[in-house]
Amino acid sequence: MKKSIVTQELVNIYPPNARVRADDQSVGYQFMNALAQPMEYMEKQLAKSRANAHLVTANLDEVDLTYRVLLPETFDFDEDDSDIAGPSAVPPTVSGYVNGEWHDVDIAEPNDIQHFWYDSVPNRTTLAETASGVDHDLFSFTTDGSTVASGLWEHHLGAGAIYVTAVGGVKYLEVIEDELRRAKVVLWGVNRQGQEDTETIIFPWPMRQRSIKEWKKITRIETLDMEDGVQIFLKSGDFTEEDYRDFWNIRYSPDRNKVDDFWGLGSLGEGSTLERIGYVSDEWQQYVIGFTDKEAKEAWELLDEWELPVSGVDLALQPFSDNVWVTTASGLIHCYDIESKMADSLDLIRDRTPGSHVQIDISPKWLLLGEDIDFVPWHARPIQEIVKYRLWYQTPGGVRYGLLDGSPVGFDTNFWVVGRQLKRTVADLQTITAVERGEYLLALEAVFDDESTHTEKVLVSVNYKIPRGTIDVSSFVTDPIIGIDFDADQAMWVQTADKYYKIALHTDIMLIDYTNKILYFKEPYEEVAVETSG
Amino acid sequence: MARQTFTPEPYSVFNEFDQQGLLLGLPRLREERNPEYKWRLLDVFIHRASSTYEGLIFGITRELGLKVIEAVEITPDPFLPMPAVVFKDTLCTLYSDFENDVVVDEFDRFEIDGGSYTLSELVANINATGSFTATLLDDANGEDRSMTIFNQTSVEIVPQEELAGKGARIKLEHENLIPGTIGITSSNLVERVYSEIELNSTGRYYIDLEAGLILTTVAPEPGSIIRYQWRNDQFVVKASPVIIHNLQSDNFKSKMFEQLDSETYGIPTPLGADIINELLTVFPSSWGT
Repeated sequence: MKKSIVTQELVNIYPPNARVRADDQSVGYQFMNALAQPMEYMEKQLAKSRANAHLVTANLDEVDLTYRVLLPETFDFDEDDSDIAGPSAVPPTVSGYVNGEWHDVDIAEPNDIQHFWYDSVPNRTTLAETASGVDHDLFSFTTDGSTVASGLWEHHLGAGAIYVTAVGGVKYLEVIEDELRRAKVVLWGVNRQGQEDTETIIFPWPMRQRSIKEWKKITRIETLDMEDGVQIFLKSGDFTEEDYRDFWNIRYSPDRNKVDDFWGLGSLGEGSTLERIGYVSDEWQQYVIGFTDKEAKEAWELLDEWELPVSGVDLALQPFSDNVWVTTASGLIHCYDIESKMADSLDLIRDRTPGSHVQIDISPKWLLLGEDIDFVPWHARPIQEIVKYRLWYQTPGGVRYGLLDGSPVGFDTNFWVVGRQLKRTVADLQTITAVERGEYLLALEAVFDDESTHTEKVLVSVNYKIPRGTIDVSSFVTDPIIGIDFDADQAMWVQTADKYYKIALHTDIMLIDYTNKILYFKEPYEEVAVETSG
Repeated sequence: MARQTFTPEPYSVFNEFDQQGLLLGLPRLREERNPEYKWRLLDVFIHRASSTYEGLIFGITRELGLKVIEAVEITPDPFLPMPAVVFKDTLCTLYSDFENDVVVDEFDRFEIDGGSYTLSELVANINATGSFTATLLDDANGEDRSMTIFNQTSVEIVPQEELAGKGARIKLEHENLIPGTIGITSSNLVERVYSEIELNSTGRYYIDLEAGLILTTVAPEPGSIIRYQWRNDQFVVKASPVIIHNLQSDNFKSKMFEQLDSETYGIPTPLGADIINELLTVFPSSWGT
């Protein structure tokens, strides 16, 4: 089950030490997570509605044009009468003909507009446009006083968003003579509509920001109230950066602070990982004084549909969606979701003792293949003494091992450790190397003075992601790909060493109105073939 | 197995963009996708539609889903005293001295055999003068008619520019001001002088036309404004596939009707007859009464 971004915000109503707030495997957290799902959906829909209220920010992927086939009155869908509730219509086998080729058309699953239009993943591509002899890396300079740079920097695609990055410096917000000074970068130039225009971008701390306006060319850049020595980069695309800010960006930290989410690629052996990145601190006051280091908050090994490691070179977040596209140099582009998951094997921890006096100290509860699971069993509530305990774990494949003196032993052997434990730390740091993807179960069983037994169990996830879909552009992008981005029109572009390619995405999918006998398609087929058994 | 084939038909779904379109009076065209529609909607605020010549060009172009493009860039020889380019009706006129009405050359863009029928031909003719350099821009197709360039001139008008708050040395937004087109409204700038030396008493001001600079002895009072015309020497000419003619224009009248003398017109030419017949099909009443 998906772990909603909103759940943390919801459980933050409880005190910090409450398990519902601190432990995402607690029953309370699971319960709140169920409530948070529709809240997250609502929050994203509200964000989309807000964006759609203005032309400049509106989602261009809103459903606009479909293609339909009105089946004749005499057409009968095949029926499935295996359900005792009554027969139901079976979707016909449909293929669409376009540009000299037939393509199998899948039905949206479930058969609704959300899955037909918004959640469906493209399955094939064509080349829409090529741009060569241009560069999205427009200009960079270092601030010195109130810097003004004049010149002509044209958008590499003709027009679109501009990305401004400020690197270095610690005094972006300053109070001088009771007046708050905010560091600003002012752009002058010609906007996409051909009008002379200007835009002021405020930098509360060093970061990369996208212009609200779309530009054809920039003719002048000025920095105001910005300290000397800050490096300013001006780019017209968002390729090959270290991290990309989450499109929705609605996360709260366990300390009730609104925090920024970023996404980036890491490495694991020959393959890549997808990393959810955040600032180390969750207090904006720390960023303002220059503490803007980031760290991976969660990571997943990226695999292809055959569960083989994927070596990504760049990623792009698809606007108004939960999709991230990771491109390889060879032209395979994988679409992954950006969701965190609740543990799948919660059944395995159902029998843990509520309010157990012993606990397993492990943070975070995720890691990557080949890394070590480090944990410390400890006596959290030392009301009674422990007279014996045992530690064991279960691999994702379901094999159980006991842990004795830090080493795995057969589960059918006796690995109880007998004797009174006088320290809060029941045993020293335990280490298990994660050699399988999936969820490891860690267990601590302790017997107390009064012969009662408490059991603590924790699931640890060896994270990975399987793509929602994969497209192949190697037939028309023959050089190694180095970057991927979505432009201001929400169209996908990939970058090679000397060219940019606009990729037209196609989705062979249909929505069926069984009652009115209408088939709806996303693609403009010249002809559609419908097969039934009748 | 039963196999049937069908031809799908486009089916538009009303969304937020259509809602904006209702507010702006600009419905979506058949099979128009969101990105194209968005830019047509935004164009409503930039190229305002109206019953003026330009308003009609912009409005019709947009409503038909066509585009106003930047077609040609024309730059004059820097040694010309006061160069200007004027597109008016069917003519393109190149001036070496706009103030004194000295014409370098004039091209008729209407006639197929006029030599300037296409954009490429017009660009070649302008370059052949040696006084101006014309370059076809990326968005333009050289085979398109040069009449797609609608009425415009490299002499542009600034109806109002604020002078207050800029000190006593005021840099205007434009350079190369046209003599005889300048008017200043100010309570303390009352007397224009024609050399800096004469700036020796309050209320006097001097205008450096080439530099677009106003020098005064005192800063202009709030509410001080200037209006002027200026010469755009980096003239980017715009074009629209929508061509509008004015029957009152002498240039066009001569295309529509046989010209008997400089002021008298006779029966319609073959082109004029075609156009009149087409107009009659739109309004099945008597034409011209």
